[in-house]
Amino acid sequence: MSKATSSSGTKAKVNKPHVTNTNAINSQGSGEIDKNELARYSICENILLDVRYAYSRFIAAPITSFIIIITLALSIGATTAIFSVVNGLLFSATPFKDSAQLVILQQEDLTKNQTYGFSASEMFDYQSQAQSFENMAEYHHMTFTMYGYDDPIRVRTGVVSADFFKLLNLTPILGRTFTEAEDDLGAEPLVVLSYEFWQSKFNSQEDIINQSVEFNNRSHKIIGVLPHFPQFPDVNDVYMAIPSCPWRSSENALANRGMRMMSAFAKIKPELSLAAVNIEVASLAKRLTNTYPEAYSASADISASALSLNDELVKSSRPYLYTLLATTLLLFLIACANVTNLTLSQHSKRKREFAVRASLGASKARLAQLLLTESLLLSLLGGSLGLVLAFLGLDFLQAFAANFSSLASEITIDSRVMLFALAISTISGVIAGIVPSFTKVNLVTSLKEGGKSSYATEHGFLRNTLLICQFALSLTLLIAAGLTIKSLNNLQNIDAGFSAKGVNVAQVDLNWTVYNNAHAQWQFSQQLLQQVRQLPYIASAALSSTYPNDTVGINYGSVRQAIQLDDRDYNPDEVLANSFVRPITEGYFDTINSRLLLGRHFSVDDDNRSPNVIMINSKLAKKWWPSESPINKAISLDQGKNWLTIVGVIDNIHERGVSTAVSFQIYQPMAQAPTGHIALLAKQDEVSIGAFAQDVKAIIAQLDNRQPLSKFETLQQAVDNSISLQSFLAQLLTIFSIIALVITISGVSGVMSYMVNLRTREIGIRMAIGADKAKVISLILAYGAKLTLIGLVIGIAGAYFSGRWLRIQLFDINAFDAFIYGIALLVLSIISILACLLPAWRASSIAPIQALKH
Amino acid sequence: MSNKNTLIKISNLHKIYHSEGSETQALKNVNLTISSGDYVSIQGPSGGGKSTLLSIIGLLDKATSGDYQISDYSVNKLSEAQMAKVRNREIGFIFQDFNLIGDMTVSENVELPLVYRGIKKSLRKRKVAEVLKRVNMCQRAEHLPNQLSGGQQQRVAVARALVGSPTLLLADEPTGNLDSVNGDAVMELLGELNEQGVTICMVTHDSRYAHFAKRTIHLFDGEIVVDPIDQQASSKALDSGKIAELSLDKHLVKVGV
Repeated sequence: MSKATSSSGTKAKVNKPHVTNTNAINSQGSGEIDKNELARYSICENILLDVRYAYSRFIAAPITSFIIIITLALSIGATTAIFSVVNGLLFSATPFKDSAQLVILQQEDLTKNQTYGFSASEMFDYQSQAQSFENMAEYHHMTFTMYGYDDPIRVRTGVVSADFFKLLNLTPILGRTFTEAEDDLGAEPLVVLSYEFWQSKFNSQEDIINQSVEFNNRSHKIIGVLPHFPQFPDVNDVYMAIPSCPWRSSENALANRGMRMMSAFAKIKPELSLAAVNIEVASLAKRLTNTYPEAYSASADISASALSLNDELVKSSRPYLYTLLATTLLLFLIACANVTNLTLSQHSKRKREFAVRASLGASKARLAQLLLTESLLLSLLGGSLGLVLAFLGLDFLQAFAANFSSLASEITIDSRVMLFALAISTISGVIAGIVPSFTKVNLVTSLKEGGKSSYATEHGFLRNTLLICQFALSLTLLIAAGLTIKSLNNLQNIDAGFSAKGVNVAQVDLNWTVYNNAHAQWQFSQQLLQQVRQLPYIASAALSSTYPNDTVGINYGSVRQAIQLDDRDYNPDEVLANSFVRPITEGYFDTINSRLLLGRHFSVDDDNRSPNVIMINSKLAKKWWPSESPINKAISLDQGKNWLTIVGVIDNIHERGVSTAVSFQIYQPMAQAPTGHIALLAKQDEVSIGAFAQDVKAIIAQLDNRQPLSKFETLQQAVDNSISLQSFLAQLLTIFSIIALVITISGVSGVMSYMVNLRTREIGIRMAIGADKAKVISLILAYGAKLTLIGLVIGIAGAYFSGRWLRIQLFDINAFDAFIYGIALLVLSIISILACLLPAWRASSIAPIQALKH
Repeated sequence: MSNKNTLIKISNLHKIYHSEGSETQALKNVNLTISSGDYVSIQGPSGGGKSTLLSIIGLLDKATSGDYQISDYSVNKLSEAQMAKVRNREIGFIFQDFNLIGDMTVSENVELPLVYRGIKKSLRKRKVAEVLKRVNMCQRAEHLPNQLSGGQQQRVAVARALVGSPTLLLADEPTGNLDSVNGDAVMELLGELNEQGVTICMVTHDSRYAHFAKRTIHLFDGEIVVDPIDQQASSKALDSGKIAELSLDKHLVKVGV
């Protein structure tokens, strides 16, 4: 080998003074290898080599690699899971074609801030006069009793015009939907099945088309099966053509402009903006008010508006989902800070290795590439594991989301969610990989000292800053979780005006074509109640048209007309917003343990032969008779035709959920106001709802074997459902906080261990000159405490701002809650001390002579 | 010497370290020329600037002022990336404590300079095999450094330094962590390499190995006080009494001869 000889030509150049040949460096190497034999290897091989080095690195530091992967898996898993919910509910376009053009119309009385649907006549007016729409469709919800397949069942039914399916671009998977001709009165009764109902009730029979089923008292032909789609505003089992609905085709519905029971769906012309459409429909509403003044209250200021279907589908859950997404992003930031800190530790330990690599010719870019490859590999592994965790949590999230969104089934791990997971994995990998690359390395000292240097010189400031950030973010998250739990606790503990304890509910919606008069309805109701009361385990039982937190019946009995009082002048325009009439039987308030404030309860004597009486809630009593007793005052709900005497005042009941304000409530004896919507409430001891359901089914079958039950649930389930969103939020925030705490513990412990390792020699010196164990431990603890304190102070500010946002979403909480803040500070302080204690103990246990040799 | 090609030319080189308001002059007005095929030993007391000079020659550190040319490159004008390339192509390092990368095998350690040079895999493998054979470490190619003795580790370090056929081999106390048997073996290996034409510049404390070098330079307080081919420097040092101080050190009896 003759190196000198081979390069002799090059050496001749040196004799020229101050020659600079930097281009030569970039274009060629010296020696025989470069000139004669080499082919540049590809970037791919370059990366593969780094991957190989990275793999060796993982093997060499398995614990750190494992911690990084798990940290990222937990945070990326949580963030991806929540993103999949947000993506499914908020970001993905609804599966309807041209969904941006789809709107729901509503009428509103601007003076009373009340919204209305549309009557059949108004639907016709809007369809014929509005120029903004490509087409319009009507919708209303009914329940029918279906016969002919097993036991009779209640069937949730959407009554729609033919354009409904065209508007939503729904192509049936079997058969067809309605034609325009089938919208005409007198057309053959037809139904289309929802996909889910076809699966569950008809076992996905493909020969179901053209078969007939009986709805109430009429035979209807099944002409199609719809694909799965997010149903809105109600989840229905079947869709029925307009003329098939007895109510919709009745004279009253057709002629009475005040029968505003329908929702209007429309598709706006593509060239129009929503604002332009709103101008037109508002103007049309004014024109109709002038044309048909008798159909509107004199003082009403009627307008109309078009609401985006996309917005309506998600508007109730949007702020909660953004809160969750923000929370998981906080968690992700905590994880990124932790992983970056761990990577910095590793980088410091590998200082000598990087110096060696540099001395062998690795450029800064090449070293950065290696760090980045290692970091990206770990983050992608963590991200993949996170994606698996997100996938495993999908059913849980779908089930919860179904409580507040009809789009729950759209939540899935699709390509966008996977891209999101890839993006955040890459971001975390790039951050953790690139930060150490910016560190200036002194090659000479690194080659001599290796990892032995002071903490301060080893990214000390950066590492401390990251740790402080972790504390601050963890505190913010912990306090957010605390506030959410407190809000949930507030909701659960608020005096809702009733007790759900031991109360079971059975819902019976009478077939209204069979029970089509008050007498028949009351007779059935009375017999049902009598027989249920005879069951040995029933402590008390009563009937009502609905019950607290009922999701469907809660809107029954809305008072739309002004109420006349016997002791003052009548103002027909004074319509009470949010007021309801509820038929109940005697024993109702005892069963749900509500308090009577004044007067008396209903009795069996308050029947259809005795004077009409009512009870009102305290909110209504205070509104009309703030300084006197309302007992024996009378009101009329029908402009003085019938007068109802107030016999009792009941404490306010949160009928629509504890987080919703109390409505004005009027209670009538069911004997005087029978209804086909019967909720049976029964208080019992030690008997399962299953046994109760069996007994009630048997009683109903005995009374009418063609009358189905609509549903069974406990009153507590109804209460829980009403706060499911808050419960969901609290559970997830708690899980995220625990993950954040675990990550923070590992972060603090890691940083402190590393700090102790770097200060071992210093500790040895201190011990050699007389420091005892306690002094060494306190030295480490004090250091940790200082960082903790700074982090917590910053975290308090962060928590305050997040609290202000949460205050809007949550129930009855303050942005600054001393108790929650105190607990969170205490938890994090204890965690910090515990995380510092182990490294501190280890430091104090090193023999001074060993420490000095370190 | 005059008929050889100049490999390194250092002129008026100074190195000053600043720390907490004070200055330490590590190298003062160093002038040094090393030709191809030389075997130079740099000696001197601790703190004399030996390692600093070696680091600057090896492009691991930069001079505060002065000129430095290696091959046909003017180092002052090189960027960091270009310095990395020069290190990779022109220089091979041997360190006192070997500096092998612990989680890489012997062959991976030796291969690394070629990886950074961008040489394709088949050629890398061939070169690594050749150089390991040269240092008699073929049997240990797949071992990790911690499975080797100190002497074996240093032979691997020498192999790594040689694999890229560098113009210059820099050795910083190559026997410092070795027993005398292994130390002798490494020094003999370096001697053989020099015989084969490799230019070597070595820092050593150990006077036993000084005779391996063809030329010994003495540094004292950052200045070259003895350089056999620079009589001007030696005379200047003699005038200032620095050689007298050096001669007190019994290990330096041959200084200036």
